[in-house]
Amino acid sequence: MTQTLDNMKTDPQTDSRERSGGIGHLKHQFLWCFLTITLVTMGVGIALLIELGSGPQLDGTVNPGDAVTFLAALRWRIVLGAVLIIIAAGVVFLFLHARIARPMEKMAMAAGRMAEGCLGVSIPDHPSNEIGRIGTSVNGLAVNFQEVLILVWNQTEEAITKIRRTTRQMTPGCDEHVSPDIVVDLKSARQDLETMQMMVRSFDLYDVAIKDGDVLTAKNAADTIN
Amino acid sequence: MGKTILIVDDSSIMRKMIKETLKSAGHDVIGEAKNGSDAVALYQSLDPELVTMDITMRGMDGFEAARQILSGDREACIIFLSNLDEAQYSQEAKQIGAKGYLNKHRSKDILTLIEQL
Repeated sequence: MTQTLDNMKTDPQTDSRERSGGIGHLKHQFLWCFLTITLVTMGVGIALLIELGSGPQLDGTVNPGDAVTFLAALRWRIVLGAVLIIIAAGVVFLFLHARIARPMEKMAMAAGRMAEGCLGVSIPDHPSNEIGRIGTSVNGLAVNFQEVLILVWNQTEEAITKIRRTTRQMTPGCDEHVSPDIVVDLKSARQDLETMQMMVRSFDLYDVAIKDGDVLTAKNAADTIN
Repeated sequence: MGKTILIVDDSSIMRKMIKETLKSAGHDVIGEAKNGSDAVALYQSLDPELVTMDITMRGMDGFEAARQILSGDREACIIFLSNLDEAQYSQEAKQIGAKGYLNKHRSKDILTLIEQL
């Protein structure tokens, strides 16, 4: 098996289970959030029920003073319980915001820029849940797309050079055997190739720039301009 | 006889293409890395006979990875396989200590280059 750093680090069984739709990190995180809210709410509810059970019995012999004190204490415990539930919900919200909402926002922004042809942006590949993995996959798509674009550029550049050379050798009047159709076809083919190059140029590439037909690193291209 | 080879390229499609080319000639691709730092780590653990190295990669680039590999193993056999202009970058590759530089759209030429090594 070909080794990559990823398959050296991860347990292949866990990895394949997650890829095949088993319980992934995101499901675990949602489960923990659900359990936290449920346990806190249940805890508060049970504490209040116990408190109610230990209060004065409402059988007509209750001392009004005791009842007022008990109800005041119960009111405060209900407020405290509500505050605890709100704090737990706040913690869960902050966790979900940091681990899911924020990465999703960044991913949406980066993916939007990629869709507009800016392949230089990359989506952060953390957190280490399904969202992070989507980011890695989208980055991989952009890398492959850039590779294809540069390959198209290099191939078309070479083909255009060959067409130019051939066209120069077929100067009208020098070679009576050359059909005018061939010259027209070559010109048309060159125009097609140049259209493809225009399409490639309309993309912003990662760390690469096209300068005078050559593919250079962005730094070298900038140095050339300066 | 086939060589053990580590392919370093950030593009999975390109790694696949290079792998097919090398395997068709009987070489054994023992590892793949998608950036320079992975390449350095994999080189140390796999000790391949040859490395094909891309230049432009997210994270550590190919030149820096080659420098680090060669600083640990002066005999490391590295061939750059890049889309960048050959005339501009082959000289830098040679200065670093690479055994060759090929443009990716002529990637099949790598088999000839390996035979000559």
